[in-house]
Amino acid sequence: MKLSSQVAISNSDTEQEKRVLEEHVKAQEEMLARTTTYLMQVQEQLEASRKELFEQNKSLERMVDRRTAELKQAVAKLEKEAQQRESAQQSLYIANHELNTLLYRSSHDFKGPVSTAFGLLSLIGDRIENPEVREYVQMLQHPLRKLEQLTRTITTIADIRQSQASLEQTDLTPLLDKILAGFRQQQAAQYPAPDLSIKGSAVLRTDEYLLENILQCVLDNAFRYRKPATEHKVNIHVQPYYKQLKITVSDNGTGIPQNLQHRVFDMFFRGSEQSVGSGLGLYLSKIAVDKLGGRIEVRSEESMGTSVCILLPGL
Amino acid sequence: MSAFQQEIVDQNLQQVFSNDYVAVYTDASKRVLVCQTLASYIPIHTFKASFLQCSGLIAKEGIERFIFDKRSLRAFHQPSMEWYFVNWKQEMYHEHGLRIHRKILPQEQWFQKCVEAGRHEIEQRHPENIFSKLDITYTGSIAEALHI
Repeated sequence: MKLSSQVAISNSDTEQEKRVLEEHVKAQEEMLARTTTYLMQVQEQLEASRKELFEQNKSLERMVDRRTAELKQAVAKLEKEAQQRESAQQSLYIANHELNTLLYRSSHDFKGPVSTAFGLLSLIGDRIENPEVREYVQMLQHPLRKLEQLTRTITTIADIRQSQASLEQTDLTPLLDKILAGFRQQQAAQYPAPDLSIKGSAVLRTDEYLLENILQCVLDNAFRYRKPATEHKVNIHVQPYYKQLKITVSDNGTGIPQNLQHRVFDMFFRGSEQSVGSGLGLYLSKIAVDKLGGRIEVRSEESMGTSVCILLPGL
Repeated sequence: MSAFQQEIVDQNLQQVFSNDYVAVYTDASKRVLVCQTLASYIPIHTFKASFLQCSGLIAKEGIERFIFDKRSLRAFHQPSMEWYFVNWKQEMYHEHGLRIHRKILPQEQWFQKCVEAGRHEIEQRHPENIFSKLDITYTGSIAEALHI
């Protein structure tokens, strides 16, 4: 190759390199300009996002402040209500205590004069010769006996409410015999011998006084509310039930109307206008069972009879 | 031999062709094609010519993974890149089913930002493009690009 040709090629290469270099520089300039614009856009977006975040943060802070203030108010209100409730509870406790004391004292105070009046009336009755006056005196004995019974029941309720349960090993069998003997002694004709069945041990750790009163009331109801012209039957069923003693007293008496059954444990509840009891028997039984940590349920069907189930711990 | 070229040797890749700006390698058994840049800038006509030559190989060898090692570049020529993104990749996908692209960028953060800016512009100008259908991942080395 001639030298002139070599020089021409060399010049051509140099021009080519120069062109590429110029393109390179131009490409870099454009690239940097594009990147700068892009970064500015990104920065603007970031700034907008930052502002938005700042506003959201401020809004959140305001919300938190408002909620905190509301919560503080609510807490203050709750504290005030709690104080009022505590004060009301204290007042209720005092009132309850005073009522219990009044009940306890007045029932015991009634007991003496009623017994004295009853005794004196018996004495007077023997000495009256006028038959009409004697009849009036005998008539007076009936309401006085009712008053004596009511006073006795209220005294028992007061005693139960005032005292703590005193637990001792108690055998239910002789206790039932004693209660049933008492009923027979009062009026044998009205208290037919119940059908008694005791399965397993009937010895449990309980308060005998409370248990006696429970059974006394439940059995009194079972014997009392009988249907006319029907052979009255009372069943007493005793059996262990998961470390408890289950005592079921059922009768075929008048029963309790369905719409009144939810009130059977209420104070002074009577199943019908014809009821002659004090209306305190099942109420007394319930507070005594509660005191023993047990459970009492009544199932009844009008004109068919009633079943009272008592579950007592301590077996 | 540069460190980047040493990676090619380490992976036993066979050179298919080269020029002043790019060298192209393959591992036919793995259906992989690697395009490694050799200069800091590639003129557009060389860039297009090299990639069109790659197209032939992709069609012939049934290439499934394309690795573009741009670590020598320091200038991002936008028209070249736009053609690469919008025309070449699209054609490779529709004509030859090439979906897997692995890219290796220079370590410099500023260059990576330039690539990001260029790509952002292309995506803005061609929102209907097939970017979402392609499996594109940036890797740090040839070895990584072959396996990820």
